[in-house]
Amino acid sequence: MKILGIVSVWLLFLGQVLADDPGKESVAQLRTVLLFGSHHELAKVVPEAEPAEEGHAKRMQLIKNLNFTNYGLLGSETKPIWRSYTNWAAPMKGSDEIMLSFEPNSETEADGVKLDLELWQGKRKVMKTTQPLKNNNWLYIAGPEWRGGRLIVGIELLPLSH
Amino acid sequence: MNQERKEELIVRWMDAEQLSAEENQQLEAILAAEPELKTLRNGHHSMREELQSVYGQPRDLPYGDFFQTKLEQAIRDSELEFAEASKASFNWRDTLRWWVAPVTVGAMAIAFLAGTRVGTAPVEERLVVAEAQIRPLVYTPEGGVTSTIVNADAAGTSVIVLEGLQPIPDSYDLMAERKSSSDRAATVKLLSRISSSQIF
Repeated sequence: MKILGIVSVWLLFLGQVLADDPGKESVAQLRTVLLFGSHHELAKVVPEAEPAEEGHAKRMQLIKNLNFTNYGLLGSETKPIWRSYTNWAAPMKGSDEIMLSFEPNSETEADGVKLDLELWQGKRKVMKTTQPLKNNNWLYIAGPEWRGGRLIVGIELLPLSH
Repeated sequence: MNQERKEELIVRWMDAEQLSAEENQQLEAILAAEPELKTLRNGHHSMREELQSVYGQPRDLPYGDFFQTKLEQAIRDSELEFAEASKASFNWRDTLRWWVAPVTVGAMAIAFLAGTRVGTAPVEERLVVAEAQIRPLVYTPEGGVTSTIVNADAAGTSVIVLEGLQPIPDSYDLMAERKSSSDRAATVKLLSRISSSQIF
């Protein structure tokens, strides 16, 4: 009876090991923010939006035609990057209007990873690209216009140790 | 009479050879059937007489046996010389064959050692892989949508600018769903708190 119990425990342990999918292993994290850039006062256009970090505005100043006066943060989300599976980011909580899918394109390196990115607007895929991302570097995707401004998706690669 | 026998008789008759009685009977039968052969024979005889009058009667070569003996001796001498020369060359090559192989191997070994000692040290080959700076491509499935990639600053910021996307209507309240989501979350928290209090 004792032997039967030990065997059962070992079988359970073995089943758990086999059930672990290495493709689901997290290799890094992706922080996604949804920004709203506008030349109007945010309080009048989107009263509920919080002001975005100054870093976004500084980086955007370098882009011609995207140098908005004000930047609001509509949503933020941090999701794991799985080794061989696609994950989704929906920075706007409760909304699937703007979504982003991401999946590693190659082996993860110490300083970054190359990602297959897809931007979805209203359940339609509007962009697909493969981008090499470095740790703590930002990639912005200037998306559709809205209320005289523009929706901008910001992506930052975070290492696992973050 | 077959054709070969007929031609033989005609040729012998033309050359004025002596024919037997039976052969003469056969020849007469042939000449009776082909009388023009007599004319040909007369022409042949007259031509032979003319040639003999010009070149004279055929005579044997003077000292024929002497020259024949000399020719046969010369042929035997040449064959003997050739045999001796072949034997001499065979012996030289046969001797050489036994020590050519080790000498060749030794020469190759010396050349190899000389190449390793005298020559310059081999340079370690390094596989140089140039990191291709491939510019990322952006695919926009919808027609009329264009993209531009901009590297903003030295900090590594990049921007993809999409133009031509369908604008989101101003009446669409993005934040409404966020608020409703927050409300739903608050409701869930409230319900869980109520249920928890009921349990305890």
